[in-house]
Formats: sequence, C-alpha cells, structure tokens
Amino acid sequence: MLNLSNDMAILSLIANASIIVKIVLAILIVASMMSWWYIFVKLFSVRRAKRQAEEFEREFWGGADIVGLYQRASAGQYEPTGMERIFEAGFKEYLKLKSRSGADIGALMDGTRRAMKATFQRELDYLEAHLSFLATVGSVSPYIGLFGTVWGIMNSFRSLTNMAQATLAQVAPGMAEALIATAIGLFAAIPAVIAYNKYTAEIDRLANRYESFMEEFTNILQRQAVH
Amino acid sequence: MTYPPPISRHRRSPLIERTEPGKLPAALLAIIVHGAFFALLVIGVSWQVKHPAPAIAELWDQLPPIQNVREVPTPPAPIEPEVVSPPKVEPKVEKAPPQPTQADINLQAKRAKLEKEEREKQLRDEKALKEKQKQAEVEKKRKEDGAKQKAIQKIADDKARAEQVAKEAATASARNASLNEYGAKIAKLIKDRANIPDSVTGRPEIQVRVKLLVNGAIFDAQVVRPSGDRVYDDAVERAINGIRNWPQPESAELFGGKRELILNIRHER
Repeated sequence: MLNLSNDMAILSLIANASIIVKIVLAILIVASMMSWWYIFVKLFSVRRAKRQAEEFEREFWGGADIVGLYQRASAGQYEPTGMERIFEAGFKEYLKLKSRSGADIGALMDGTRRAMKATFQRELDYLEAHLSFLATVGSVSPYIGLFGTVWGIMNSFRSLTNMAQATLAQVAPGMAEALIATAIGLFAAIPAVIAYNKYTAEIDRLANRYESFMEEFTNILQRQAVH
Repeated sequence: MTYPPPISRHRRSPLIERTEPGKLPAALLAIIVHGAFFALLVIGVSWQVKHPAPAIAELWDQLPPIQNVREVPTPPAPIEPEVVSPPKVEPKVEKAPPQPTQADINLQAKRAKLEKEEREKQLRDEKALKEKQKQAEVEKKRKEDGAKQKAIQKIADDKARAEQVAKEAATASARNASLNEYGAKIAKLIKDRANIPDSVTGRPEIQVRVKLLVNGAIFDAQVVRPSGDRVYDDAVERAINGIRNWPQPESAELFGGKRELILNIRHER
C-alpha cells in the first residue's frame, strides 16, 4: 500500500531510526536527564549555601556571642554548613590549642587557620561536586548528537545506491530522523553549559566570601589570644 | 581569657557523607523539563506537517441515469363528444281546408288540434330516441378511440425503451473504449515516469490498482500483482507517487460505480 502523505511525525521518525541512532538518542536523553537533575540539585544547594552564609554573617557581625554561636553549631542538633562549619572548625581548633599551655600565638593562629582552610576546602568541594559532569555534558553531548546525525545521514544516503534517480523525498525522512540526534544533543548541552558557568561563578563568589570571613575571624581570634 | 571546654556531644567527622538537599524535587523538575521539551518537539514538528486538504467526494451507488430526453407521446385529450343538436323538425302545419260550416270548422279545428298534438308527441318521442342513439354512438366511439390510443402509446413506449437500451449499450461500449484509452494514458504516464534501475532485467510486468477521485486525481494505488522484482516495484510505486498532474478523464461519468483502474505496466529492458 502506498501512503501518499508522508507522515513526518517525530515519534514515527524516532521509531524508524537505525539502532545506532537510537542508542545515541538514548545516551543523550540519559545525559540530559542527569544534567538537568544536577542543575536543579545545584540550584538548591548553592542557593541554600548563599542564604546560610548571609544569615551567619548577619548573626556574627550583629554582635552575637562567639561562644554561644560555637555551642549552637557544635551541639549536633543540626548539620552546620558553609560558613558556620568553617567557624566551628576554626574555633574548635583554637580552643584546643589554647587549652594547652605553652603554645605561642603564632602557632595558635597557624593551627586555627589550617583547620579553617581544611574545612573551607571541603565545603568548596561539596559545592563543586557534579559541576564537572555538567561541563562534560556541555562539551561532549553536541558531539554525540553529531555522531548520531552523521550516522543517520550516512545510512540514508546509502539507501540511495539502488536508485537510478535520487530524489530529495528518498533521503528527507532519514535526514530528519538523523537531525533529531543533534537537536537532543544541543538540548542537553546548552543548559548544561549555562548552568556550569552560572554555578562556577556563584561558587567562586561564595568562596571569596568564606575566605574573607576566615581572615576576619582569624583577626578576631588573634586579638583575643593576645589578651 | 578562658573559654569553657568545647561542648561536643556528637563527635562529627569532617569526612561525613553529606547529602545534597532537594534531590527528589530536582529529579521531578528534570522530568518536567524533559516532558515539556518533548511536547514542544512533537507539537513543533507536527505543526509543520501539512496534511493534504481532504478531498470531498460524493459516494454514488450507481451513475445517475443518462438524461434521455425522449418525447413521450402525450395521450391526446379525449375528444369532447360534440353534442349534435338534432335538426329541428319544423312541425308542418297542414293548412286546414276551407271550413265550410261553423260546425265543420269547429269539428275540423278540434280534429286538427288533436292531430297536431298527436303529431307533436310523436315527434318528441322520435327526437328523444334519436338523441339516445346518438349518445350511445358517441360513447362507443370514444371507447374505441381510447383503446386505439393505448395501443399506440404502448408501441411508442416499447420503441422508446428499446431505443434507450440500445443507447445505453452504445454509451457503455463508448465508455469502455474511452476508459481503456484513459487507462492506457495513465499507464503510459506511469511507465514514462518510472526510472527503472539498471539492475532490473527481463520484461517485468506489474499490475497496479489505481483508485481515482472524480476529478481524476489518484488517491490510492495498490500493487495487485507484483512483478517479482522488488526494485522494479519500488520504482513504479515511486513513479506513481511522484506524479502530481494526472490526466483528467473526459467526463466524470467515465467510470462506473467503482472508480478504479487495473493497470498493467510493462517495461522491456
């Protein structure tokens, strides 16, 4: 039976694609799913880190008692994150070193700073987790899609070999189905790249904030240690 | 300045596994984003698919009867029986002979009067009888005329019917001839259009059933009997699909009830 109207609906195009193109599409859809998942996860966690940093800074510079803040953070009733965690680690180390008699101020401040630096690195690592996945999806999925497209177009041209006269109608469906691969590759890549750049910039700004807090807190502790 | 010892009821390891918040909502949002993307893709592509405008076709069980304007002899209006008025018989008044006497005269007058009355009565009877006879005659004549008319009409009808049958047969054969011609035209068009690959050899023959619209456009073509050579069949199918302008049939009544043609297409290689 000859169907005079060529059905170009996207689902039939995908269903008629060759197995390689289907695999490529499946990989791209999984990659896209995961990258969007990470985009949202990062959106939530970066936003929360920013909010908590702001809250803690407001509390800290609002004249709250440092010991009270430390007791609240280390009470174990909730998991402190970000800036509060850095503060907790630094102050804990400071107290430990301070309780040992005979330590000079230089060693005391060095130890405190190292403890805070370690926590800072861990916090940063936590915030930056999975960002590399977004970068990978952003850079690789267009190529995967391109591969699927090239393969599909190759097949669609190969089917022309037996024809005496090649018309566009014979290759058009194959091309269309092949180009879907590129479309999905781009759909996965573009948001991933945008999200990667956005989150990298935001985490950089957070890191700067943490670092300046560490410097300022070190100064405060040093002033107290001198007393 | 001394500080109280650190209160840490829960020893927290710095290497503790930290879970990121909102993993489930993130997964749901990711699924929503993809659902939206695919909906967009499907709708966006199906928008661009232009379905050919539906062709409206009237379905007829059979062809409308050919307009055969045949003069049906109208039965002549029944002739109004002319009421022939019977000739008026003037009562001849006999001249009375000369009246010799008064009595005679009286008698004679009486007799004459009587006679006259009698004669008038006779005349009246005669007239009535004549009238009756005439009416019966007219009636009879009319009846005869009707029978004759009927017979004439019957003959005319038979003749007309026979003529119509003959005419229909003639138009049918003419139609067949032009149908064959039209089929040949279409077959030739398909044959000319088909690009047969060089790999096809021999004398492949394919039988195709072509369904047509009233205007001659083909809306369906089906291979009835493939030639056995897949490449050749495909080439013919492509040719049929590629033809946009089909020759118009001479008249819409060219086809019978089924508007389809069985075409044999043969190539010699």
